Amino acid sequence: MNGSAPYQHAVIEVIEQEAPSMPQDGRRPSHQRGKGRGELCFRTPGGLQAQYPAVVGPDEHHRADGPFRRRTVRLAEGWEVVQRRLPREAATAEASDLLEREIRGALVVFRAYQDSRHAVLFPMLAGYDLDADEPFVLYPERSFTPLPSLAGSASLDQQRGIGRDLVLMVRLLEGVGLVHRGLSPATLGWENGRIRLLDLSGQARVGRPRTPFGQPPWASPEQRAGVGDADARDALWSVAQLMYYLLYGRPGDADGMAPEFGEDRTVAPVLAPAFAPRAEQRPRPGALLPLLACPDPFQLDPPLPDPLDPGRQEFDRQLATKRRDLGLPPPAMVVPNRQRGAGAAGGGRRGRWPFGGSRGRGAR
Amino acid sequence: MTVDGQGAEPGVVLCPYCLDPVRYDPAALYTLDSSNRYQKLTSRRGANPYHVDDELRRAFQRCPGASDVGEHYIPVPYLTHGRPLTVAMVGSSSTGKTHLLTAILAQIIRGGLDDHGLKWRSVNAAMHARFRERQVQPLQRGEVLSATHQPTFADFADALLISGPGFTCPVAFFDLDGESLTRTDRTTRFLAGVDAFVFVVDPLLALRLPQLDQLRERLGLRVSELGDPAFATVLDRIPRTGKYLDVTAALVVSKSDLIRFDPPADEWLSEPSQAPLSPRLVWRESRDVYAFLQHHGGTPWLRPFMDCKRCTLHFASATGAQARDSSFPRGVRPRRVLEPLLAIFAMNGLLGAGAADPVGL
Repeated sequence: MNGSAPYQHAVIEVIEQEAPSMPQDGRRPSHQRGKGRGELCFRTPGGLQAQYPAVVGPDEHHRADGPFRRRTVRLAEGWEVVQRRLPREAATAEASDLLEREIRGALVVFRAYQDSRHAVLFPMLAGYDLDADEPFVLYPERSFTPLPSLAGSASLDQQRGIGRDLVLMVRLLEGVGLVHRGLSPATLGWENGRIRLLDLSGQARVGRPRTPFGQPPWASPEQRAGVGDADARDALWSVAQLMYYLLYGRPGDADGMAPEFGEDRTVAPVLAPAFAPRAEQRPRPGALLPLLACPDPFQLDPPLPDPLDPGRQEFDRQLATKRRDLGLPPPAMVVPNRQRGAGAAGGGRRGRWPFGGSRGRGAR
Repeated sequence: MTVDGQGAEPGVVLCPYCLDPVRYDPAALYTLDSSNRYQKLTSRRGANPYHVDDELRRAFQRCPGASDVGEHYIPVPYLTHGRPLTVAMVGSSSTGKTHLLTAILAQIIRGGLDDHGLKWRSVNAAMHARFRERQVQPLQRGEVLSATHQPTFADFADALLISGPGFTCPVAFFDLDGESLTRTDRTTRFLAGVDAFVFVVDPLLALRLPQLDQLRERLGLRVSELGDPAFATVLDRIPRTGKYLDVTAALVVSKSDLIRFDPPADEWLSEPSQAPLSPRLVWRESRDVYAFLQHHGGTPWLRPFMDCKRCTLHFASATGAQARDSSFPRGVRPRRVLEPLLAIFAMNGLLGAGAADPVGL
């Protein structure tokens, strides 16, 4: 870019000096000093740049994080956030693309659901910086019970609640054109009677070609093979496997439904069809929800229209006029059939409110 | 470009500088000496045909046309390969024209046209080598390119011979600085003969998005409610015979890394390139960019679409990130830079379907 001025980049500068106490009244101290202290610059979900004094915890590396490192960062206002960052030495183009995709999906979820009753299901983006020396994404710290601690011991109510929440989560993601490819015991928690998704890094856009992703038995066969186009029903396979795991305390059959699952009378009657070998043979998440005593959120509350749609229609009119003036027949192109709320399956583009979370287009 | 486009005398093309008709004349050839001075090329009877061929590839022809433009020379391959296509980058200073053109040519050098059934070679090896050395290589090293200088004469930035099934076409790229584009003197006379335009929209000048305010403030820029003055000057310079200008155009929101998380730019920037070019995808992207620019910018920014007979709209980022301290410390990662040129190729019949190609209409 010609003439671009230096850009203020997000870095944590760790300064090894004395440390005053964290401010408790929302004031920002002019400078914080001490081991692991510095300034954290990042973009808020609204895209604005923020800068806060920060105290940085030690790096953690979980196998599931791949090239990323995770650590807790305490910002001056007392907020604790989890930072997932890409270390310099691991910054390949592929890893950068993964992080960018995660942020893109996290912003979609944030804009759609941050003010809704469904917000509790998702990690709500706190900030990001993709232009930093070590790019990162921030999520608020959340407490949860790891799902494996419920495996084989979940009560009937918990089983029903978890099954309902998982399908609801798949449906809500479908509603904004996303599918989570990494639903597994490692990416889910349980708190206050609700499921919590812990990680958005595995999401992909519905309708886009699949790439091989995920581990058996959690990832569906077509997802592991990376064939065809991503479908919200890819994640329903994972939901069915997770429910088997909760019921029996062990991973299920990577190739289909384990026979004993059919004996269950809580969620199996609803979720057994989700073990179908191909996504298109599985029921749609919106059709399963009523069977789990949960209304389809998009039938209750249809999403708001996309504010860009009038502009698209204006484009169509301008193009039609141009063709008529030039003696050409009307445009052959057909307006994409949007299935708002009904999911973007079939390659439809996701519909959502583009700016600001308070007017998110997802179900409230 | 042939004279009057259609039905012109075979072998005659328009001089891209003075717009006078020129025919290849083996008796008016020159070559550049080591001091970059033009020296008359004398024909050598009985010379090795391979040597002659090589000499012609490096030769220039002095244009006999309008003297008010000054003495000027045209690379011989530009005159001997049929109807040329001229492409001009349009936009005010610092909108990203030079970075975009450089990224486009870098993508071509990397083989970006191969999947579309096209091959390329330079029209003039020395000119192309200069462009590589001064533009492409620095950008690949992550350097911010310096602003285009103000010329007294509009010269090619680079020119390529594009070959496809059964044809070879010279394609010349013009990249003038923003100030020159708003001049109406003879320096920009060439604009009247250009076939295709890439109108470059700078998000910082066009979009009222609040997340761009901090950067705008830092750079001392303001949103322009009236669009880009360079667009208006150039569009007014193109001869108009009817309701629409008989040129092809691509309207490109450059520096789209600044809006990479704003829908629908977020989706398009992550869309992998597809071969062959899909008219349907081009139409969908055009539709989205139109709506985006209308919603966040304003109608004046869409004037190229309104005025030009065939126009496509695109999101692109030449570098994939913002510069820091005059460089791109993590290197450059261009996004969707070739699509606007491919759309221009499609609209000018270089991708096979010719006038029947629905791209841009």
